[in-house]
Amino acid sequence: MTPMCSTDLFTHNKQKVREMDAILIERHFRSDLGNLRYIGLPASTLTDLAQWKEYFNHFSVVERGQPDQEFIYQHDLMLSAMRLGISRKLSLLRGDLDDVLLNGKDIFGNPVKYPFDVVSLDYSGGILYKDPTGAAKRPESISKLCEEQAQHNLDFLLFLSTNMDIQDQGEIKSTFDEIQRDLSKIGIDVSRTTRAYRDHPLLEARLKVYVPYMIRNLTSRWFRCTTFKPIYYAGNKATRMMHFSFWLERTDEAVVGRPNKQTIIQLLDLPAFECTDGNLRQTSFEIDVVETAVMID
Amino acid sequence: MDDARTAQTQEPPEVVVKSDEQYAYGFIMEVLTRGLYPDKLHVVREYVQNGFDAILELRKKGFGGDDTRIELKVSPPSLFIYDNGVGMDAQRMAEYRYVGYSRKLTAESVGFRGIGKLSGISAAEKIIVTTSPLGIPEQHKLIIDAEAMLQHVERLKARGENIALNQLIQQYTSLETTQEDPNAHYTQIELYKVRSDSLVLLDETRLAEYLSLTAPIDFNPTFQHGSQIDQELREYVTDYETAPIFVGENQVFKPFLPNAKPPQWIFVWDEDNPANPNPLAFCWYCENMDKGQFPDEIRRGLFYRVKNFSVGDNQLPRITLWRSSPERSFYFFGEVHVCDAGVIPSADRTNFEQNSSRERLYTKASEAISRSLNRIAGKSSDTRRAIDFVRQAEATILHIQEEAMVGAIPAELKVPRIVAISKAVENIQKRIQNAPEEFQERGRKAIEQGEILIRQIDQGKPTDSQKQSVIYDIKDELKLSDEARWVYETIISTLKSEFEGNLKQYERLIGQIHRQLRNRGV
Repeated sequence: MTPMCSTDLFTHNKQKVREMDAILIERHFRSDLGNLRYIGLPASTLTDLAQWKEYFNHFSVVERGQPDQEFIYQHDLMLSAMRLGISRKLSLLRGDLDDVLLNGKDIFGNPVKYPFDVVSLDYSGGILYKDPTGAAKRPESISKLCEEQAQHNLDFLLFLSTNMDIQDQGEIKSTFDEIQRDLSKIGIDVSRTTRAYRDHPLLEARLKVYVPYMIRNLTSRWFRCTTFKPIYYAGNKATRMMHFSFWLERTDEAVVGRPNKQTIIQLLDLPAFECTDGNLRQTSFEIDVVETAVMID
Repeated sequence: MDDARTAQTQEPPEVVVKSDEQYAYGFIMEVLTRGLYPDKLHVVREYVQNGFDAILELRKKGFGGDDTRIELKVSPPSLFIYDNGVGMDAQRMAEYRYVGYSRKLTAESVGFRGIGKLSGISAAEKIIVTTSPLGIPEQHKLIIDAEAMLQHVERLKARGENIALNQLIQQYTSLETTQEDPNAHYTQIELYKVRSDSLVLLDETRLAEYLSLTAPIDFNPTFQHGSQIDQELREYVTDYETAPIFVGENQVFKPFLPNAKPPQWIFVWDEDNPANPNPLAFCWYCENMDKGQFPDEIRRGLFYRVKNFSVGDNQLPRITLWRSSPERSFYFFGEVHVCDAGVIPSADRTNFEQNSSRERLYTKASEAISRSLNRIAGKSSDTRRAIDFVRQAEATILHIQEEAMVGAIPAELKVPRIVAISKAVENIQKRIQNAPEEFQERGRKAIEQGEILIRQIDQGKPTDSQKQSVIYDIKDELKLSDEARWVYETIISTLKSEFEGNLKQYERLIGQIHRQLRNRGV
């Protein structure tokens, strides 16, 4: 008898996202499928891992759980793995994802066993989350992850999901200012475009540029970063979610700082997908692409 | 993380507790758990037993194909034990909160005392049990706060106070029920925060080794006789069953020892009760192909099994069945599957409960098994010795034949050579009937050659008179004077008496003396 999940918390939209991720995995690891290694923060139902189980021979799964009941969530996650038949490939890391990545081990000292081919970060508290001390651990932990990955000289896919629970204290605005400033130094005026993004009523439009720009900067020391079209959608309980995918290509140490194949302008011009009822619709958020904007000016 | 569970705290269904059980006190918890499981690996056996029973129950209901399994997963600081057996309903989960209560029947289930389910209390700070029974759309989650419970008992103990056992358990357990797919069926037990004195439970290698010797699992597929033994067991042991067990990434199998002869079988019958059509026990064994005991001290010998779970280790049959030559039990490896339902494993499963059934089993099995195996071991030993003697005789005769061919037997060693050949021949004659056909043939040939060689040496010449003498006399060869002969013979006579009983040394000295004499051209 095939075990069934008690409740499938995923929407059609999330399923579509998973399918798009699967396409990227297949495209980038065609010859290694079946031997891939994953680290991430999946839902306790492990639906995505179950769908990808043929691709991977190892899953490092991070689960923090709810305060005072963390062991119950971790227990349930392992139960899902057992029922889905992936427990033998699974390594459970207990604790906060950022702390686990920063410390290289979970709260019980279980080590993070690098390297990974696919890294899936699910930031339910928003990408700009700061802990009670005001520290922004997420960028730090991503840097640490890249540093560790770089030691193994392997390219990898990074998936990053975030909700719109963003407590922006001016970071997004200053990012657009920085983009404008950098490009103006080389004679390109993108002020109209960056202004359009910065002032866009949809947070998704701002994040579409902000998150990839942040990831490029965080990883540039070790990797060349290619951003794929992000997808935004309504998740479980109608939570607004945005999903990003990056291909991080290891650069030779001798060519550190080599420019990304994908330029900032291409990044600004990269459309996004809006996913509704499992259907994708490409959108530019009604913002003109940079070339057009430059020409008009 | 989303949480779609529709949790509700549930009052456990009523469990009938006999009035005298109300007066069981909290101290018992400590004794039952810590005292009963000095070897913490036995804790795992208790949960694996329960998982196995759940799988048997599922099979009995007509479900559970090839995918039924028990999985152990170490994820420090926890050990997870999962089975996709029939699962536990609300009633059975409620029984978790009552020590010693079990609905299981001894005839049908491996575990039956209702203690094992709490064994984790001795090894971990929390026990989390999640289960869903087949056909019921419910999932039950029981959490036992073992650490707090035992601390409570110790606090009371220090004050000379006590608490009713059931009150204690109720106080430190919680039971929650949520919705689940009615087709789901599973149980997962987590021993959370395994204590420092129980860290063996977080060692996958030790767990796998332990389960390979104790659990009802299949034979290793690389054991060439495994499927035949399995077939026989399924035919003759009515409650013989197996289930796949995984520890970490690997499936655990029953071990086997290399260099073993094909399996043999022994039925243990109760001749005093001919009306009983069932055997008391069924034994399979494989004998060591090499000489004597198997070298693997853990896996050699016989193991008792009840419902395919081991009882005791390889010392138990050795102690209980062998009256004489107990060392011979390790010339074999195998199992004694106990079929008599009256023979009940003790709570710690290191032996059987003392009762008349046990005594009958020991008596009858001793007659049937140890006597047979001793006889077989003796016979094998005789065969091996007969073969050894044939080989030794062949080597002795060949060596002396080679010496004789070139006339290299000194006159001083004529008698010892004849004695050596005679002895070799005599040894073969005494044991030739124990040897296999091939060696009997070789033995007869060796006897014949030996007798010819004795005649040649005795007469000092080969049968073919044209050939040179088989024996040389150094005195003649060197044409020694009478005086020199007298000196030489005196020396040789002294050496002979000095080295009597040490022929090799005597031979060596003779050889050296002859070489020296020849070199000096005396």
